[in-house]
Amino acid sequence: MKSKLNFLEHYLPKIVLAPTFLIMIIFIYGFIAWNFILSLTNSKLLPIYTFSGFKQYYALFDSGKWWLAMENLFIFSSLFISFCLAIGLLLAIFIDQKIKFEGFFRTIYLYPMALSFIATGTVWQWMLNPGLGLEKLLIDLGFSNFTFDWLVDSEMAIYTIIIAAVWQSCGFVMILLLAGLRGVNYEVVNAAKIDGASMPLIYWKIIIPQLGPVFFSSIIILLHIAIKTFDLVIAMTKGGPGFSTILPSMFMYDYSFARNKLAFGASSGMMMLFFVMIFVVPYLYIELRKKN
Amino acid sequence: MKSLIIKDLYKKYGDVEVLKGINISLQAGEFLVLVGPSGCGKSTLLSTIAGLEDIYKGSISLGEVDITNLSPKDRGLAMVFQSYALYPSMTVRENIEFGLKISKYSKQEIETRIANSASILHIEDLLDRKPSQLSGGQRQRIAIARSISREPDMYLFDEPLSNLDAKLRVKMRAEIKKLHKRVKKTIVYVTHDQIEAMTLADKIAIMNKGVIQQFDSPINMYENPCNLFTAGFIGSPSMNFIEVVINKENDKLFINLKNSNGDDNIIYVGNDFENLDNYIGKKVIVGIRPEHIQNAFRDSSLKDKLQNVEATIEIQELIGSDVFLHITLNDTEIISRVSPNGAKDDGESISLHVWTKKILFFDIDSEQRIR
Amino acid sequence: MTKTNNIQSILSRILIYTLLIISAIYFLLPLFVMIITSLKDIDEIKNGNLLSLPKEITFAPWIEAWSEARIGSETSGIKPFFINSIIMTVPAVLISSIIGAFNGYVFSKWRFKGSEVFFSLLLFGCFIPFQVILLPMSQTMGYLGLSGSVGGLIFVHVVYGIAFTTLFFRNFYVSIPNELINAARIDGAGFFRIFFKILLPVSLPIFMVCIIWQMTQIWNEFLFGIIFSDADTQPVTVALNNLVNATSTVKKYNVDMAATLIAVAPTLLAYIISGKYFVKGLMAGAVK
Repeated sequence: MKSKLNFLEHYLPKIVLAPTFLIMIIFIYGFIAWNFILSLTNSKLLPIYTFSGFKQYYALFDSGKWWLAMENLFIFSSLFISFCLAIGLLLAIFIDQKIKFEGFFRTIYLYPMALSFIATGTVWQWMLNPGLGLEKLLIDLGFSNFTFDWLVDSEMAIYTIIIAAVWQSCGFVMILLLAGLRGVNYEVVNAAKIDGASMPLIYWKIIIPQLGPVFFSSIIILLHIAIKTFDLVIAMTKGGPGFSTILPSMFMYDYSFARNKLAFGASSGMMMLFFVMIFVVPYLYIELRKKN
Repeated sequence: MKSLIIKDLYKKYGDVEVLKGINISLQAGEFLVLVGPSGCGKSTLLSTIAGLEDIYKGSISLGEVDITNLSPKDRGLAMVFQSYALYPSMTVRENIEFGLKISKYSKQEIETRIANSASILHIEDLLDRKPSQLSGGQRQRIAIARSISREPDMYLFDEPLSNLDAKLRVKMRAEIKKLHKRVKKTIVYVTHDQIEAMTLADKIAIMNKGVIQQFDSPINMYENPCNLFTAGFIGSPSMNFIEVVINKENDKLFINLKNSNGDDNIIYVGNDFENLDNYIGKKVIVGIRPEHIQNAFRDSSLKDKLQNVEATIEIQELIGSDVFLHITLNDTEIISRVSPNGAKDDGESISLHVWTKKILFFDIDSEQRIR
Repeated sequence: MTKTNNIQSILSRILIYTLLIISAIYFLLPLFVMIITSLKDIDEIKNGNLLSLPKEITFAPWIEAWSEARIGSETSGIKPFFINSIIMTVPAVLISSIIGAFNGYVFSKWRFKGSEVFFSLLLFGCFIPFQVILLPMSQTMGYLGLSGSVGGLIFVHVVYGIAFTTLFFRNFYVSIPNELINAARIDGAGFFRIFFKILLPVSLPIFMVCIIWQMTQIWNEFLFGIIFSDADTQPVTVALNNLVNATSTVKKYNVDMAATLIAVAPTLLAYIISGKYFVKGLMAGAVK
C-alpha cells in the first residue's frame, strides 16, 4: 500500500546522512584503529604491518622526553585554563554591568580568536624577545636593571607560551561566561538584594555557582585546545630552548614526520587520544543525557 | 463530509505502548474533542490521524478510504497547531499559498481560495504581513484560514487555544464553533481543557494512559460518567468523592455521611441499581457534583427527591453567582455549590439538600461505575 | 544616605570603566605593536623600542613581505601562499557548511532509530586530537594521489570540519518548532522542499556563525598545512612560519610583522565586519 514516493521519503534522511556516516566510520574511527595497529608494529620510515606488541608503548614510557612533554602539558594546561577562566570571568562580570559600548569592548576582547596561533606566536615572540621587546621598552622607560628573558630561559619559556595562549583564548571564555551570566535566574538575585546581600557576595554565592555547567564546558574546550596546541610552540620557541617547551603534539609530529619512527609516533598519538577521552567521554555522556 | 473510523490502533515508542487499542467511530460532520491530562496520548493520536507518526497496528479510514498508510498530504485533511506553525520567512499570503501551490492549483483558484478564507476570518488586511508582525490571536486566525483554504475533508486542531490569553480564548472558541457550523466538516480537536471539550464537542473522547476511557456526547459525559476518571475529569469544581459503606435496612439501601461533629446524615439511595446489592457492608466511593449538594434547588418539582445533610461550613469562596462551601463529610473535604442568598459565616452549621438521584457509585478497586 | 550611595555608584562605575579600558589596551597592544613595527625600517626598530612610533612611515616591509621575501627556496613573498589559502579555504568552508546544514536538518527534524547514537559518535569527532589520525591520513592521501595538493588539504578540512558544522546546525534547528515541519508536511512539502523553503530562509544567523568559525579554523590551521602540503602548495600559516623562522638571513622584524598582518587580515576583517552575528550566535549556543 505504501506508495513509492512514501518509500523514498522514508529513506531520504538516511541517504543524506550516509556520506557523513561513511566519513565518520573511515576517517575518525577507522583511522584511530589504523593508528592503533601502526602503534603495535615496528614501522620506521614506512608502515610495516608485522605485529610487535606493546613495545612502542614501553619505549614511550621509558622516554624522558615524553615525560617532559607530559609535564609541560600539565603545567601549560592547568595554568592556561586557570588564567583563561579567571580573566574571562572578570571581563564577563565587568561587561555585564550594563555598560556603554558593550559591543565595542566585546569585539576588542574577542578579536585575538580570529588570529592564527602562528600569528599570535610570532607577535608575542617579537614582544618578549629579550633584546628588542618588552625588556628594552622598560629599560627605555627608566628601569635600567629590568630583565625579562623567559623566552630563552629553559626553565621559564613554557610560561611565555602560556601568556600568549591566554591572551588569545580568554576572550572566547569571556563570551561563554557572559552568555551564562545572561542566563542566570534573576529572581534569585533580586531576592538576595532584598535580603541585603552586597553585589560581590551575590556574585560569589549565587551567580557564579549557577554558572557551573558553563565553567564545565569552558574547561573541556580549553583542555581540548591545550592538548592540541602545536603551532603556538612552533612559532614561539620551536620546543626550545633545548626540548624545554616540547608538548606531546610536537613530540608526535617530531617522531612521525621528522625522525621517521612511525610506530613510535603512532603510540604517542594514541596516548594523546587516551588523555582526551578521559575528559571528553564523561563530558559528552553527561551533555547528551541532559538533552534526552 | 466524511466519517472517521479508527480501529484497534496501537502506537509504540520503542517498547512503550502509548496508544493501546483506540477505537473511534465518528459520523460525517461531527466535532470530536480528544481530552485528557498531559501525556495521555491525545496529541499522539492526533498525529497518527494526520499521518505525521507511524502506527504499530490498526487502521484509520476517512469516508470510504483507508488512509492508514497514506502520506499526510494525501489524506485530505488540514491541521491547526498550538504554536500556529506559520512559516516565519513567508508573508501571510505566502503561508496560505504554500500548500496550494504544492498541490498545483491554478493561479486563479489559489486567488479565490485565499480571498475566501481571508474573508471568513476577516484577515484581508493582514495578507502582506509577516507572522512576526502579528499578535497571537491574529496568528491563530491565519493558521485557521490556511487550513480552510485547503478545503479539506477533515480538520485537525492540536490545542489551538492554549497559547492565547483567557479572554481571547473564549472568543476564538466561539469562532471555531461558528466555523464548524459553516463548513460542516468533520473535526478532531485536542485539548486538555474540559470546558473547551464540553462547549465545542458533538462527541468527547476522554483519554488516560493511552486508552479511551469514555466516548460519548458532552451531556452523557457529564451525567453518566462510566468510571472514576471521567467523573473526576469533567466538571469544575470537580465531582466530590466520598468513601462510604453501603447498608441495607428494611429492604432500603442507605449510606451515612457523617459531618465533622460526628452527627449522622442518613441518605436513602433508592432501588434503581442492579448491582449495588452486591456491595452491602462494603466500602464504595460515592460521587456527588457540587451543585447536587446545596441549599436551594430552584426546581420545586424536585422537592420530594431531596434529602437533608447537616454540615459545618469550614471556609467559603464567593465567586459571584455562587458560593463554594468547603464542608467535611466522612472525613473528606468536599465542595458544595450554594446560592449566595442567606449567607452564613464560617464555622456555622448549615442545612443542605442532596439530590439523591444524582448520586453516583463507584467500585473502590476497579473504579468502574456501579449501575 | 542617598548621597553616599550616589558617590559609591559613581566610583564603582569609574572603576569598572578603568578596568575595561586597561583590559582593552592589553588586548590591543600586540596588534598595535605589529602595526607600528611593520611601518618602521630596521634601523629604527633597533634604535627605538616596542612602543615608539615610526618617525618615518615606510611601506617597504609590506611590499617585501607580500612579493619579495624569501620563503623556502623562492623569493616570492607571501603572495602565492596567500592565494593557496584562499583556494583552500573557500571551497572547504562552503562544502563543510553545506554538508553540516543537511546533517543538522536530519539530526534535528528527521530523527530515526539510531540517529542519536550516530550524532554522539560524530560529536566525539570534534574532540579527537588530530595527531591520532595524521599517520593513516598521510598514507591515504598517498593512495588517493592527493599528497601535497591543495585539493588534499580541502579534503582533510572538509572531513574533519563536518562534526563541528553538523553540531552548529543541529543545535540551531532543534530550536525551530517541529510543528512547523509537520504543518509543511500536511501542506504536501517533502524533505527537500521543507529544508529549502522553510528552514533555509531562517538560517542566516547560523550560516554566519558556521562560516566564520570554519573560515577562522581552516585559514589559521597549521598542522595539516605543514604535513599535507608541498613547497608550492603551502597555506599562508606555514609560509609565515617559514618566513619568520628562516635562520639564514638577518632578522627583519618589520617584514615579519607585515607578513603576519597580511596573513591574519582575512579572518580579522571577517570577524570585525560580521563578528556581531558571530558573538550573538555563539552566545545563543553557549547557554544550551
